[in-house]
Amino acid sequence: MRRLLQPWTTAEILVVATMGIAIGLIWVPWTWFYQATAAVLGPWAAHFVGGFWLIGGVITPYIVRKPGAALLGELIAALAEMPLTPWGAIVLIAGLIEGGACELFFLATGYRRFSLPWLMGAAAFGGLAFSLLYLYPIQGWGRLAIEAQVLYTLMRMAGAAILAGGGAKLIADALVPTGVLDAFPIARERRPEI
Amino acid sequence: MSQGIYMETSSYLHRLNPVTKFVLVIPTTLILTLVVDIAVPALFSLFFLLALLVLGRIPPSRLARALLPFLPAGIGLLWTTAAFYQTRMAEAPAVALDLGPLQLTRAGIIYAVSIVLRVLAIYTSSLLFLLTTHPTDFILALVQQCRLPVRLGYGVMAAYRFVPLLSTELAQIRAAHRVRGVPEGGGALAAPRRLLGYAIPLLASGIRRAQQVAVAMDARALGAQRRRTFYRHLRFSGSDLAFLLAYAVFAVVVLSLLVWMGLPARLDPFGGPAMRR
Repeated sequence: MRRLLQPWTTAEILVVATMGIAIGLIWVPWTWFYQATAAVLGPWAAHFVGGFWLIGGVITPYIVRKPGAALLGELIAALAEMPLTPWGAIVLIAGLIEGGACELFFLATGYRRFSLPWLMGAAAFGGLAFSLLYLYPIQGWGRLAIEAQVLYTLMRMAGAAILAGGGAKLIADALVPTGVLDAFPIARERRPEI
Repeated sequence: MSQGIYMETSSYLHRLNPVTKFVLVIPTTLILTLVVDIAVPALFSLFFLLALLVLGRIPPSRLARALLPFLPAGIGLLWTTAAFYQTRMAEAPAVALDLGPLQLTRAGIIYAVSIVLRVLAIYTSSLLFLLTTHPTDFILALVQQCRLPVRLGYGVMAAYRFVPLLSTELAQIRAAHRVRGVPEGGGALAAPRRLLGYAIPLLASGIRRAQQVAVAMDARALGAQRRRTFYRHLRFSGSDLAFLLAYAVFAVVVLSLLVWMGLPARLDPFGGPAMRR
């Protein structure tokens, strides 16, 4: 518990920033993939693909396990993506909603639960928040048929859980054996106490 | 820092404080999501496009290129919104366009056009920031005007400096894989597996370098003093105030025009309590 209240070290800030920027760069081609899916298969499939935008709010808290990591990771990723995708400044507001929702989820668990189902839950919760607070008002979902509203929201949540929750676990776990995360809780919890 | 679609030139908009330009996106998004109408978002889009052309000195061809990606997204949003529109009881469910399995009502088409224009207007307000603001200046302004912690602001900028190194690093990893005889492989799963094989070492070396830079920043006591000096000073000036005022006047005029003409505007944040059958 005491660890949670300590201020962030510079190393933690830099590692979260690096992860955030790397994810923001992956999001750039992902934007075009998302657009192509929307054009070819329709919005229901695109909302599944769009769930990947939650990964910044899941992977950094999984590594650092400190308050603020979800919000910061997602915001830095959005900042890195911003000049390279056509969406512009609005992606920071999207990042704020998505990262904030993931942060709330981890806060509710006391920053103690980081197994796969919890990561997927955090991502799905972020996807739900993004649907309700961003897509509903901006794309005016409220006047669509109720079936479309439910389908869009569920696809967003499922995509977030699988692509963002599962993807975060896959990438971060593959990084642990390289040893670069040895100073962080994700690697420390795997070492036997001496 | 990578410039992205930022356009390097000198203009009134370029000289504004980045925070001023960013802040405008927020009231624009709020106003437009509250109003379901065709004229209001069209006028807002026009305001931002004209500002970019005249005050931002962005050439029309460059602006057109920046707007191009909106086209597929706009078309997708247009037809799906019209198709899934739930007709209200008060409205005649008159079919305006019959495309076999897809029947679009008049109300649905009008609503879809207003939603697409809304997204276009928010998009152009975003573009105004993006085309005229260097990403580094934005972080500097956040540190200087919004009291973003120095370690965080400079940390993000330092991490962004790694990006240009990625291509040389990727070449190294490829060479290393080849020396060790990692099969380039065939089959459907070969490409994603190879991608992960490159991504993990790339990320690992990035994280390693991040921790080295963190030690260097700590060794120089970055952020240890409460007050610090800057090589480049950004500040709020009269032109920031003038632009914000012009925006406020524009928004008030448009909205009062809307009320005066009795256009079908409603306070409608979630699409309104549509009556369902």
